[in-house]
Amino acid sequence: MSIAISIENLVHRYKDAEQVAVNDITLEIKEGEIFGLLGPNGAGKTTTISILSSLIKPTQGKVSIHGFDLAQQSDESKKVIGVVPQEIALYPTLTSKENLDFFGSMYGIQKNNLKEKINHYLHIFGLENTGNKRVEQFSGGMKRRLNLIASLLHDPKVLILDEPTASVDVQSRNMIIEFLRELNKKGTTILYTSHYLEEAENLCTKIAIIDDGKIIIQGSPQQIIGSQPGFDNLENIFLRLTGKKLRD
Amino acid sequence: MRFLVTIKKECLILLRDKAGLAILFVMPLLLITIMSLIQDAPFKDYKENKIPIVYVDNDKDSLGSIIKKGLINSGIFSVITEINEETASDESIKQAVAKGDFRLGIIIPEGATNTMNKNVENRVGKMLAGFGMGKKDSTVFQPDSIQLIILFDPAAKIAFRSSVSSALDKFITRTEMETMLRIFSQKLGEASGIKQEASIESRPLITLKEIQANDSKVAELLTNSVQHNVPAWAIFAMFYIVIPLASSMIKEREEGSALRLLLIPGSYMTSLYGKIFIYTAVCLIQFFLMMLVGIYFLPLLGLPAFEIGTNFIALMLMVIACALAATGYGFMVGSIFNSHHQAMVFGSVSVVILAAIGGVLVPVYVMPGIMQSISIISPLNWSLNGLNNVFLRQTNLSEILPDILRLTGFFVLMILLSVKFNQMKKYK
Repeated sequence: MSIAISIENLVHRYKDAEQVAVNDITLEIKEGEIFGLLGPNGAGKTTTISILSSLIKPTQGKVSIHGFDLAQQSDESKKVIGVVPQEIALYPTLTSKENLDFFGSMYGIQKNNLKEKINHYLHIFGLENTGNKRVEQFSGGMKRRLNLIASLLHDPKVLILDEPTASVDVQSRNMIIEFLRELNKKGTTILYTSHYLEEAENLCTKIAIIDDGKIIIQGSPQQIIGSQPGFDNLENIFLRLTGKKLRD
Repeated sequence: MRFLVTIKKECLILLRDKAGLAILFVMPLLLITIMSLIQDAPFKDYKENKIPIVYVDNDKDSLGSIIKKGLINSGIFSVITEINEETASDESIKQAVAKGDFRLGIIIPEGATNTMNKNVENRVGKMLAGFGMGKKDSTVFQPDSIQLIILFDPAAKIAFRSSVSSALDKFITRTEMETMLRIFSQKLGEASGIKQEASIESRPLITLKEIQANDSKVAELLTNSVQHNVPAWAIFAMFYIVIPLASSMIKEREEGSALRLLLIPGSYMTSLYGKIFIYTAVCLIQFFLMMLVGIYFLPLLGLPAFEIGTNFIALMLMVIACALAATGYGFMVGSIFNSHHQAMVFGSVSVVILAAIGGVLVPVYVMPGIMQSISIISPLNWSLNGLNNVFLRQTNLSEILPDILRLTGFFVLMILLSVKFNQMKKYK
């Protein structure tokens, strides 16, 4: 399998910050993997995702996505990734169809093709009857699903999701997880962050636990559980490795 | 295509924001209507709006009646001789003016005509004696002074006091001159033995005629409240686009839609350019709506109709330049500030300051010298200057080109600064 995402000695320090947010991370995500990046609040997950999305420039290190070096070819890399941000990144006063039509057109998708895709995804995510309803009238779960659709319209090779199931009901969460599995079967590489460790254990083919900007363990869920004698689930291992101290 | 899609999106968002639409279109129309109505009186000719003046004539002779007649004929004052249905007296006039019931009162002292006649007779007699005519009087004559009392409301402005004093001074000088001529003619007749009194023509030999420096049809328009307020407040409203535009940009960042645009290659700036296009168009619509209100609606309220001039190409270019400058300013405010509160306070206060400096609130020519020098830094001053050139002076394109270039340059500078600020925000 070829490499989808390559991160080498990645360091990021925010302006005026005392500590580095990402501290010398190196990892590889192969094509077709579902990679879970797990860690407590402030561990460096969102900063890593922001760097991969070309939203912020790293202080140090090299990142490439599908062979595109982010320092030189950020526009090319943006074309092959789809990013589902933690917050709902949609226009609340536009309808779901208007939002998808706008963002799809901004990706340069042809009108007819875009219309088909919008109808297809709205149907899959159970939003087909909400096409003319404004997003501000949606429930939290509906917004999350629409937020995901907006990142899929251009058929990305790599899908990066920052806590896609946060604050949604069990039904919506189940639908999103099932969809991600199906998408991965079709060849899409998925990088995913979550605080739901059981969900990550079931979904991911590979996991890295990050804390204080450093990767403290990585491998398949089975490898990680096997490497920690006396622990039989990811959540207990996570607490052992990252501690029980509350984080900001 | 992406640009067109952005325009469509901005239109949809704008059209669904009813409160925003009201701020963009209804508020400016209310503003120019109210400002034109409020400022109509100060702009009106004195002939249309006479100043009431309480008049006490203790003289009851020719000087008192000549001054009264002069005040009435001036057309500036309406002369009132009664307070509370009683003939005004020295006491009642003082009380009425002090209370602010009247802004102005005049008391002509008793025997003023007699004293004036004596003074003039003595002066004329001395003059004729100098030529060997009439009797030589060796006694030293001490002229009595006549003091006309002018009472002002304590709240009356200095400019008002000086204009009234100057008008009264004019009548008194004229009365003095006429009396002197009359007595001079009498004395001359007596000295030469001719009994018949010469007729004296009191019509002024030198008069003033006010004409506009430009002889075009439009330039003959007298500046009135509508002609000043419609362009001035239209420009103010256009620059007030800073509020909805900056708000829209900050909202996009807060809602996260700006984040998604940053994830799509090349789309963030395209989206912002679409925003500039739409808000520039909004400014143009605002301006022409306000022109229509000035032309068709304000006359229904008894105000003069707004004269738009005849040089439509110059007008269009000038308005586009103003709209671009206003949008560019809003774009920069929306790029610098992170919160609605910061942008609203800075945006509104800065526009009011630029409007004040630029001559929207008070014309530049009445400002102190230092403020007149400062006024040239305000884009609202360039806008108002350029538009007044089109509306009132009927200038050609080359004469408003410096203002158009300044406004366009300001727009380019604002956009460059905004791009820089956006980049700084992106790569923090």
